[in-house]
Amino acid sequence: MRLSTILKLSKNSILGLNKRNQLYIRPYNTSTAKNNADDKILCKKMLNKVGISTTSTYKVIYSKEQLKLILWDNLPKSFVIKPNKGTGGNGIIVFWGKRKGILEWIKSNGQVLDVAQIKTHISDILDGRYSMGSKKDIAILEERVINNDLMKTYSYRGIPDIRIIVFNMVPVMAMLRFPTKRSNGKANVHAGAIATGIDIATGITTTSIINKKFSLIPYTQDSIDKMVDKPYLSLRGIKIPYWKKILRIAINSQLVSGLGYTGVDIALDKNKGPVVFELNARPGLAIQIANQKGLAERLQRVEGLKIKTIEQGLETARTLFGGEVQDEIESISGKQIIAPFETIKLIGLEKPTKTKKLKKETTKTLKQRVRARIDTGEYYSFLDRKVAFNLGFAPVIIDFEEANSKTKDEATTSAQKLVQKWKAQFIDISFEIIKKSESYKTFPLIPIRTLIDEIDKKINYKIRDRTRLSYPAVIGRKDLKEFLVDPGKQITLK
Amino acid sequence: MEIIEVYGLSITKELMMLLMYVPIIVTMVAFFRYMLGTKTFGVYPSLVLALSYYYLDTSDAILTGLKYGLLITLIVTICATLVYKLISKTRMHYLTKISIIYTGVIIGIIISSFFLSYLSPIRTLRLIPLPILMITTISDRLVAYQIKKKILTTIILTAESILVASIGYFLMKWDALAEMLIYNPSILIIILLINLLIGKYSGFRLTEFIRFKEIFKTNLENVDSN
Repeated sequence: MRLSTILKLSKNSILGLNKRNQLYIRPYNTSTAKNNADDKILCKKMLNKVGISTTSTYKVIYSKEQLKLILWDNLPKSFVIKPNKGTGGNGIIVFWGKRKGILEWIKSNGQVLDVAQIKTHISDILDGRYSMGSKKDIAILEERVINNDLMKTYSYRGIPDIRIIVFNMVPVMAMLRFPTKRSNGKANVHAGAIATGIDIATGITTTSIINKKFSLIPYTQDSIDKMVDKPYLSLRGIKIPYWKKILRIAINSQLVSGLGYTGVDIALDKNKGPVVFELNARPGLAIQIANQKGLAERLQRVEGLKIKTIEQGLETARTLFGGEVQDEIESISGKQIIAPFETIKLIGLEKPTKTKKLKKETTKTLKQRVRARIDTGEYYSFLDRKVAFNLGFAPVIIDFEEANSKTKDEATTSAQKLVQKWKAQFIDISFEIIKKSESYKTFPLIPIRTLIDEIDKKINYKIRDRTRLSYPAVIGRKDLKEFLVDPGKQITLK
Repeated sequence: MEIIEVYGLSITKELMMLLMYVPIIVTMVAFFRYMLGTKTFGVYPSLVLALSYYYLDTSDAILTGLKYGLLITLIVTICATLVYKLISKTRMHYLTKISIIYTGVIIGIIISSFFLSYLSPIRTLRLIPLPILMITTISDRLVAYQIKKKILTTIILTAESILVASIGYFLMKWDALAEMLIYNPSILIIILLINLLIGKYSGFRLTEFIRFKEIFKTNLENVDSN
């Protein structure tokens, strides 16, 4: 059983390297598109053309001759050096500040580099030390992304980035990578960064992993729940700002790049908002472990769909792959999540009925489904008089309506009598007294078994005439202790 | 030099053997990568190591076996890593770094062959030079990987390459197989078919079962709880 499940999962659900290469990268990513995506300068140009913001470039260095001609005084206080065709964040140096009056810049770890040292690093890049296959490369000096306030609390020195796998214009899976002390400020999982899964529909983080420190088998991970460097921060349930916008940017980037299957890396800049870092033509598979979900299954569902617009792609992703977070919160809090408007099922009294065929007396439980407004502004729950009648409580209600008293004490005693009367018949009602012009009126609070989203509980309803209102029932705070109300939850019509 | 006749062609046995083993070792590297998931340094280093091990074994009548080749590989690996660690902090041009590493490796080999020669009763190392030089070329890969990946990853990759090369060495030493290959070059058609099969394989690599262990775990829990 166990083994067969593993084999089944590995066959249909989880994407392996062979399958990724054969079924998705080779058929959907042409070599031109791949080359374009690997070339960071070209990539930026393509993205900027359609209005997607990227980090702005200060300088591009093609040769060592050019390196000699750089005017170092013109460089800003903070900037980033990157190899144009680097992989895995290698060869990137981030300068956070500059020494006053001297041409020395301060790295994110506090180390200070002077012009000569920066020059050697750039010439290393030009020699191809960090590029794919050690080919000659180009060095880029560009703007440093300034961490968004939320991201700042969660990161160690570097910039967290959001990886979104987009296939056929649908965002299929997403993760958030946090730089850690171990990863030395890099948002690279293999270097020791934390990878956190994201629910595509809501942009809320779910499960997290970190690479094992010492393991003979590469790429084995541990599941974690808390930030490694700041253990008081939970990694679960972080709501990523601009989520819809981020997804739109991701889809648009895929569209522009010409890649069919791509990993879009997005960072959140304090001033610019979502900024595309880079496009990946061969996105890794660790995203599956971060999300604890398989990619193959999702890709199969998206393959061949005819998505025409970005909005359509967004909607498809939300309906196909969303909703993980809701179950998660439910399992954490033990509370059921309900929409602001729910169809509830009311179970009333048993009514004797005669079956025509047998001419024998049997009982039938009176039930009714009604639409209810879940109202946290109300304390009590209310039910329409007519619905209560249908449920067999007519005699109780009429009993109370006939009682009219001049004084409050009188009303109380008569109501208490009625309570006793109905208690004998196993209906455990209570009452309320309302002053109406000269007289005091008593209203029963009738306990009715109610099913709200499969939770069965007894609710004491105040009976009112609600025929002119759109919802025959209102569920108030008093009876909502087991629930969480999610205004975003879709209303299901049963 | 033994001359043999294959399909009416007169050819030296040695050449025929080398020619036949190249596709087999390369196929093995492919099999290891796509079926088992051990990456190795790629085709070239594994091939070079396997052939070097084979040649080193035949050269000195006293020091025979795989251990020679493995010993030299170990020396190269340790020297290249040490020299890289020593100079990695100093800032200099990339290619000069590589040159320094090569020089360090060669110095290491000269020193160690001084000791190695004591193992031989005639106090001289009678080793064919080319295989030793070929082994030193892996230091290039070693350093390239150490710059980009963690040291542990590099060690694992090296070990994998050595493992594949060793298996290649044993295949070359297997007389029955060697004889069969030498006289039946048509076996290459089978090798082609095996490669086609591996090339079309889209299932999991063996190591991926370990890599995705966490997903299996959670999904199995879900299955059990249902």
